[in-house]
Amino acid sequence: MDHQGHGLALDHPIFRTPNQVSFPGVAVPRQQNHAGATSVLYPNGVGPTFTLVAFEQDAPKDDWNPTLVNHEGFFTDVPGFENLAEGHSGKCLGSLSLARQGKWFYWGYSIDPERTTEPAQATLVNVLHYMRGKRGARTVEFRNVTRQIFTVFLDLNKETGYLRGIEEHMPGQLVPKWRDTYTDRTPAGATAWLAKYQPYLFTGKGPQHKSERYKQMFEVDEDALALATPNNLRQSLERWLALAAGADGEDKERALRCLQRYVHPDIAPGDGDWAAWYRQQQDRIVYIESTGCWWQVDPRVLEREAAAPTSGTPAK
Amino acid sequence: MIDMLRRCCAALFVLTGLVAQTELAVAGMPDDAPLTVTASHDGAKLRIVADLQKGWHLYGRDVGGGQPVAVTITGGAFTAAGELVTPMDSSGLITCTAELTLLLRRTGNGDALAATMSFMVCDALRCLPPIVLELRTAATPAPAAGAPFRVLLVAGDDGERTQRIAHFLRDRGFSPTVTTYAAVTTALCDSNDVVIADSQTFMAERGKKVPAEKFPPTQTPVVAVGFLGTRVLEANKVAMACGYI
Repeated sequence: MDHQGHGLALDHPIFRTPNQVSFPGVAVPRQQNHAGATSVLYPNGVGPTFTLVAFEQDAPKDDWNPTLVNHEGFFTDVPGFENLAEGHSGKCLGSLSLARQGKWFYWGYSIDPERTTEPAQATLVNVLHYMRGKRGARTVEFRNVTRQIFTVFLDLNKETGYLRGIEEHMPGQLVPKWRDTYTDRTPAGATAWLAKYQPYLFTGKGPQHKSERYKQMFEVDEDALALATPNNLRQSLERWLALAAGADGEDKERALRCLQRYVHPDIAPGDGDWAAWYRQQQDRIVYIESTGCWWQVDPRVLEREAAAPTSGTPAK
Repeated sequence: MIDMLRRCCAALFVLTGLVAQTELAVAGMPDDAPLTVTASHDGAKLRIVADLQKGWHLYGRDVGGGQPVAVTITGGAFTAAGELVTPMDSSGLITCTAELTLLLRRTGNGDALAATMSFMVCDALRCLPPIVLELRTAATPAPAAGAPFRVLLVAGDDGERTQRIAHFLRDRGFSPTVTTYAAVTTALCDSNDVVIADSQTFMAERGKKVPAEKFPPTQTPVVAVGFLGTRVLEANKVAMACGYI
């Protein structure tokens, strides 16, 4: 990205406390690659124009600042992640210049502070104050990209005609059994395959899901597919729990396998009493793909519990 | 009827206020947010009153929707002595005018108290972006004006740029310590309030052998800057920097 940003989350404390920050902006026409796209900071998409603000006085000469590109879904599912500003670049909407994950803050503008604009200087001061309160903030450990990466291959094809993602990278990230089912490696074929299987893709469970080239390999969950329970949904978890408590049979076996596959060992019940487990954990857990496709304790819950004052106790 | 209930609630809160209360200033509320928040404490209990516009609610517990309200004591003469008590309904929703309370335990002299309150406010159709409020008594010094705000500046070297950044920080009330990626340690990071992992632009850093990926583990919050910052984040398995940059 260059020296500018857009889509700022101006309600956030980093733009308000202790300095009330005001960025002069310039309205410019929407970027072609932003048409039809949405992001956390543009939930309704970008209008005909959008407003650029300057963090640095000049663009880096023959150089660039890194943005955090989210279109692969690398961090879309991290609980508590804060999208705070997008960087100005040719990359997709959702490429961030300011962001926070747990105790980590990303500041994407690398120029000397004296060459930053006054609002950017005030924002940097605010960031330090804001982060001072984040000692003990928790997040999760990255293990793999999410299955959103397959949608990106389709998006890139639509935007630029890029085919290698659909023809090579998509099958390259499927385990052999499911790679063989992906035979029509055209945009239409990829669309059809993903419509059928994407909600059931998972990874991160063992050596079969590792790849030197791509880091992770995805597999279609045959059990979840047979039960029509997309593996990331709470209603699927509750369906598995109901089946696990029901009569013996194939569906129960599938449900139990799903529970064992997706409930993190750190919190899974030792005695197999899934109903009691869910009563105890239902308000604490969240499904996260980028940690290895687990139902696990939301790091914000752990943070609140560690800090003593927590939400969740009804008034008597 | 609702108006009458609100007046009754307000009267109750006024009576509560007859016990010596220390008011807390509330900062960070968006101008168009559909609620107001006031806060006070009496040395034994922190009271936060949220007054929500009709149709809007907060979450008192995690129900799989918006982020539930949470309060964390961040400074002053007190620490929390229990859990936040929230007057939620059976669905976990906080509506109308609600008093949230948190028992306090004294850890120092005076009435100073600082806290953060985070939540999402939602109506039947949508949730607004997460809001984080800063609650602070007048007696609580702002971080940069009270105890030294210690910032560890970690850079590729301690040259002119690094000194300019340290000067920038000093001018704004921070107390910076300078070190390099090669020398930084966990103990040094942990002894500061915030760490800045600095970086020049991509081309300026390219080819230099800066051991950013060996950044030590720390409990201290880290502001990771630019290219070297992304390497620090990636080495620490922070998802936001584990993809393309």
